[in-house]
Amino acid sequence: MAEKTLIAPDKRRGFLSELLHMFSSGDWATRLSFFVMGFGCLLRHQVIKGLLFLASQALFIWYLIGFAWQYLSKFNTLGTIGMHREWSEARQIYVRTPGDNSMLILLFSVFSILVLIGFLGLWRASVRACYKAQRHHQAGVRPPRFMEDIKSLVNERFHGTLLTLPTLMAFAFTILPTIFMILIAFTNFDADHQPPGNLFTWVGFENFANLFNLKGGAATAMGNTFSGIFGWTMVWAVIATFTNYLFGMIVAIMINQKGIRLKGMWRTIFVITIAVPQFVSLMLMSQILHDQGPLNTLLKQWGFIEQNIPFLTNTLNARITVLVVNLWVGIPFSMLITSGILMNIPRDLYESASIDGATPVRMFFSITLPYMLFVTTPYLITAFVGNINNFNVIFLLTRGGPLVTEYYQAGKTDLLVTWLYKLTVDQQDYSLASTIGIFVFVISATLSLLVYNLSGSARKEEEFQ
Amino acid sequence: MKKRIALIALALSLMVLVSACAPKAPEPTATPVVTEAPATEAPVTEAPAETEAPAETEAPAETEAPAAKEEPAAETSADAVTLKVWGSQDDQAMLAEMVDAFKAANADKTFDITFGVVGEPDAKAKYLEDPEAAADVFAFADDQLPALVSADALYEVTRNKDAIVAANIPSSIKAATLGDQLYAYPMTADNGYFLYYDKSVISDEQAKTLDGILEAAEKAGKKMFMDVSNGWYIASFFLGVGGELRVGDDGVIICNFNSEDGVSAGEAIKAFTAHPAFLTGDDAILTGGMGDTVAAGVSGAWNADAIKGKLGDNYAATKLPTFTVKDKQVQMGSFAGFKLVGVNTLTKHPEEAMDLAEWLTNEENQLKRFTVRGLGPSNVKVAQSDAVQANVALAALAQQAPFASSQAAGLDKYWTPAEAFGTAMEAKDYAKDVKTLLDEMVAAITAK
Amino acid sequence: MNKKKSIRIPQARLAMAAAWLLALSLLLPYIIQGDTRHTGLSLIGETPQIMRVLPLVIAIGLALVFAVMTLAKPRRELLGALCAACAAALVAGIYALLSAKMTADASGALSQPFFIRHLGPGLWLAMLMALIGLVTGLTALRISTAYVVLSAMAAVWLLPILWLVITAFRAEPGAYTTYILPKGYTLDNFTRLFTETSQFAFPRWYLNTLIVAVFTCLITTSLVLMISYAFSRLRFPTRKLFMNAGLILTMFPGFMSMIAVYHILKAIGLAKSLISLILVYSGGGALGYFIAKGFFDTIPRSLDEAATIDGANKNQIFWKIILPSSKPIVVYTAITAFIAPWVDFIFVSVIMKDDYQNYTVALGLYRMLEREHIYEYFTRFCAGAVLVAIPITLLFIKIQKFYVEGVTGGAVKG
Repeated sequence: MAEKTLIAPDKRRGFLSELLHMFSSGDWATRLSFFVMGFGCLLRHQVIKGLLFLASQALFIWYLIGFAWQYLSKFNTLGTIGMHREWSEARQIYVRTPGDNSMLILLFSVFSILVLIGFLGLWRASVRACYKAQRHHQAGVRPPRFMEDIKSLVNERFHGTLLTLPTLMAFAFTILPTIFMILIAFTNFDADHQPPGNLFTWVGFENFANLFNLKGGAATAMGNTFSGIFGWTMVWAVIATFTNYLFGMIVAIMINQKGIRLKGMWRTIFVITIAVPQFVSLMLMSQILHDQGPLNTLLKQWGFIEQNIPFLTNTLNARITVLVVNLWVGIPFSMLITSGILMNIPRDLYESASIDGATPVRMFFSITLPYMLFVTTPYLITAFVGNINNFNVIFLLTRGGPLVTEYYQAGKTDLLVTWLYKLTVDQQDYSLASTIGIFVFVISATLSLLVYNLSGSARKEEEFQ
Repeated sequence: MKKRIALIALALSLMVLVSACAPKAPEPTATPVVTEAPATEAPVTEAPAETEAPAETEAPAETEAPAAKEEPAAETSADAVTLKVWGSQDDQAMLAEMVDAFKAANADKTFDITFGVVGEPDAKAKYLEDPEAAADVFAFADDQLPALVSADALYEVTRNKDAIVAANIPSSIKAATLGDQLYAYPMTADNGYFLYYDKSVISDEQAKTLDGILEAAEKAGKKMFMDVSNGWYIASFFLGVGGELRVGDDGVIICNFNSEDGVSAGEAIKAFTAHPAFLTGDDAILTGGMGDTVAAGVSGAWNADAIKGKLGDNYAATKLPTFTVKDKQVQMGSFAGFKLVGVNTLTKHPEEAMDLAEWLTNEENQLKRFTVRGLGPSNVKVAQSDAVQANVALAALAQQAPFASSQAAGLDKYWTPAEAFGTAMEAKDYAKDVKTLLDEMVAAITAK
Repeated sequence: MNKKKSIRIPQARLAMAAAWLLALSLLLPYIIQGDTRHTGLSLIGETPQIMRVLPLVIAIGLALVFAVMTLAKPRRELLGALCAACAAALVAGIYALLSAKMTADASGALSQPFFIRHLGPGLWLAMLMALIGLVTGLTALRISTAYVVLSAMAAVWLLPILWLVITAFRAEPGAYTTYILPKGYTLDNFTRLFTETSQFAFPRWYLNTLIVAVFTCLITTSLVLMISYAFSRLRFPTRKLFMNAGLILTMFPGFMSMIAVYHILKAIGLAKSLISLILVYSGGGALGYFIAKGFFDTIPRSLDEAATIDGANKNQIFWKIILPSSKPIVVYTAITAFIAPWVDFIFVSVIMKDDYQNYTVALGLYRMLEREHIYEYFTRFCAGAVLVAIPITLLFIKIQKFYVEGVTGGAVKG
């Protein structure tokens, strides 16, 4: 294809050097296209394309002046004018004049910066298109028609068609909010700095210093709480992931055994618990396990205990209880996931093992488990990260309790996520919460990226097909 | 290169979309047309979903409409006053009646008043999430006042202030005041707690002391309920021995619950929670067990109906009992809470909003609130009316009033540590002594 | 016909021995305190307790009878009956154990309150032997003993659900009662959900949720299929970057960014609308494409290549090759997306704020549990939860197979 040979050399260059190259080797029309987007295309028979480029440039400028600038210009301070209050004798009230809103300044600045980056990409594409049009022109080839461009969207450029909408949605509902919240960690957005009445501003790494006890001295409660909760979060995530996985697999093996009838029924029994919304079943569990709840009542009625067992109000008990209840919640899921894979394990492995006289337990540890671990590593990591962020089980069962006096606004079963939820909702301490959020994010993201990219299944991606 | 075409179209529409719909947009006209653009670019499967959505969800769009755009509303009906009122779910029907009466009483203006469901306990949180979308007139619990004032959320009560101050009981006015400014209109004065008891188990005389109640309950094989693992209730012991808990001028809490007196109150809590007849839990435990396994319980007026239903003729309520400190009887203190109505500083119509707030809290409507919902009035005249006086729960609350401190507001950092102390006591976790626990608790409360 | 399975004789003998010991246990003390001893048999003598011990005695008797018969003639049917009798004895034993307190208190023999430590060795021996008899009997019959474990687990998993259903039909209000079984049953909780809508507009919320769920399901499924196909089958320069970005993006704690999402929606003029909920759930769900991508990876590439030779473009390959073989993963994605709106109560509260008419079921139900409402509404909360669970349960039962296949195919590879 002519197109390939014409554009190929440029692809190996970096962003800037490619632009430089196009500028230096371009003719006057291409050079002008650096400033008037799509000019080269317009000139060289790609009218619709050129007009679209031009229109987008006009729109961008209009957007920048009409909307973005009022926020971007205040990005460095996040606003300086607070809400103004003045006594009006005539109206007998203190008249308010709204000032800057730090939060909206931050949010729309981030948005505008993203739009700017997107526009830069578009601008480069326009320059490229014009440069290509020039090469086509010089080679005496007619550049592709607009309809041909459109057609390529269902074939060579199909990924563009498929990914544009999801990417845009991800930008709006995930990337932009995430960047926004990450930036909050570097501000003093807390209960004393609430917009729109008050401004907040940049404070650098102060929140991190507080959280990680870098300052020493006064803020130890915060540091203690953080290290304590972080420790428990990790213990919880490891135990919860592996117990769920292991027991789920055992249940799946039991159901999938050759001799077991009514496989569907057994599976359905477990699946019913998935169908009841988690917040309902967990609220029920917390009612059942309450100090005065039905379980304690029953145990006393049966004469098993004299005193109520504090399932949720004693540190050790509560931690065990949340892990056990998590089994109740999680086993059906892991059972479903593992049962399908179990059926895929090659039968002959087991047959040869049983000829060698291996017991079922031995076969489980020497065949089933290694195979499953190898195949489901990605799932395990997802589950692990999910457990680090397992808000529902902890929050609905114990609300993080039992609370202790040595922690800052937290209890002994609090995970980092439930702690940061309480910090935002009860304390409006957004900056601290988002600092914790960044920490959780870094741990989860690193782990996942490492495992996905190093695990056997990802490396052999191509071989499988 | 051709995917760029799609990209261009999308980028265009996105930019138009955002700039056009943004709060201060110059030209909101282009919006509806362009919003659909992404959908048309998407593969076939996408299109039906995107385009059908608005049609199917027509009903919600109705409710959306009034609040959506301010400019047209202000333009088309310059004389119509648009206001939004927040109230709890239970209050909605009653609020609608009150507002209708308000409209009738102010027939010279056209009002367009809408309602939102936000209960008093959530008002602060919901307000701060988005003050612009918050109600112009909203009810909140008085402990949220400092946070709201610090966020500059409330208009000062300046119009007709003297009459309002005169009409409501002084403690309610105090609760609505910060510094020397009155920030809100008192609405109810029943957000406190007292003692419910079962007359068939506990005599009126026994109900006067904690020891008497516990003894009578134990004898009958029943329990006395109090949610000690809750800063709101547990404070009654510390306040009883004269403990200090308030917000200092710098916004940091001042608390001396670890003083010598405080420690003896702590010991009293320890003894109380260790008593076999002691029972803790949440409201469900109290309302579920009252008359059955529970003979007495500390709670507030919101449980009156449930408890009355359970106890029938044996239903009784009174002030909190006294408890023993160093062989002396000390009256338990309590928090007295109020619900207030405030006016949002971002309202477009401050005067009208203030009139409405005043209307919602006037004598007539406080009486209505009492008759319809059984809520205790802060209005002096209504509070002294026979009907209110005859209400067992509110009478008990009134008996407790002299010992109640107006719920010190701004105690955000108090609740969790206090709950932690109560939890340790209830769990009979005596690894640390009372003094140490209280020291830790106070350190956490008074932390900057 | 398969040849009839033979009985494992040693295990059958063990089962018979267990049955003998089971019978012997009746002669041992069941309840002891101080000098008072009640054997299993002497308890029958006292009328008030007879109902609680009688089933156990009958089951033991049957076990003994079948054990003797099996000894005489080892046949599958007889051994099976022995197993059934042992299972019955186990259940009856558990019942006797749980009601031992009542038995002891009613007999009046105990001066102090009864506790578990007052149980004698007889009852424990009976329970143990019944279990051994059941397990060995099943082994002898070559029937998997996993049934025993599965039954026990099924009970543990179903009991809380059962409690939910019972509470939904309970006539007395309140979140907590001092007794377990309700004093009265009623359908009111369900009917009042639909008739008393001035405070809790349950039908409206149910409809809202249904609308949101259906559209979320459609949009998410399309998005996920699009993304997965692109990542699995198409090769383009930024692919790896996009995949990794998509993977980690979901890991920033969600509710942190909700405030920002709300303001973005407000800026586009969609705040407090059902459309915004659909957008948000779809946007979130679309990032869970990894499992679908893994599934697509398992569809052989040779199929694509053959189609390409036949002149199909990438779009046609998707419709003609990939989609028809992806039923499980489509179903899996659709169910997951469909369920999300039914269970989320945090996001919807941030987006809907005070707009009560646009709540979803989950938020509405959650609101019923607030301090002012819980006493009156708890049973209705349970009724509402049952109404939410029913369609989802039916859906799950119906398409469980695809769910398992879909998630399996995808989870094998990330």
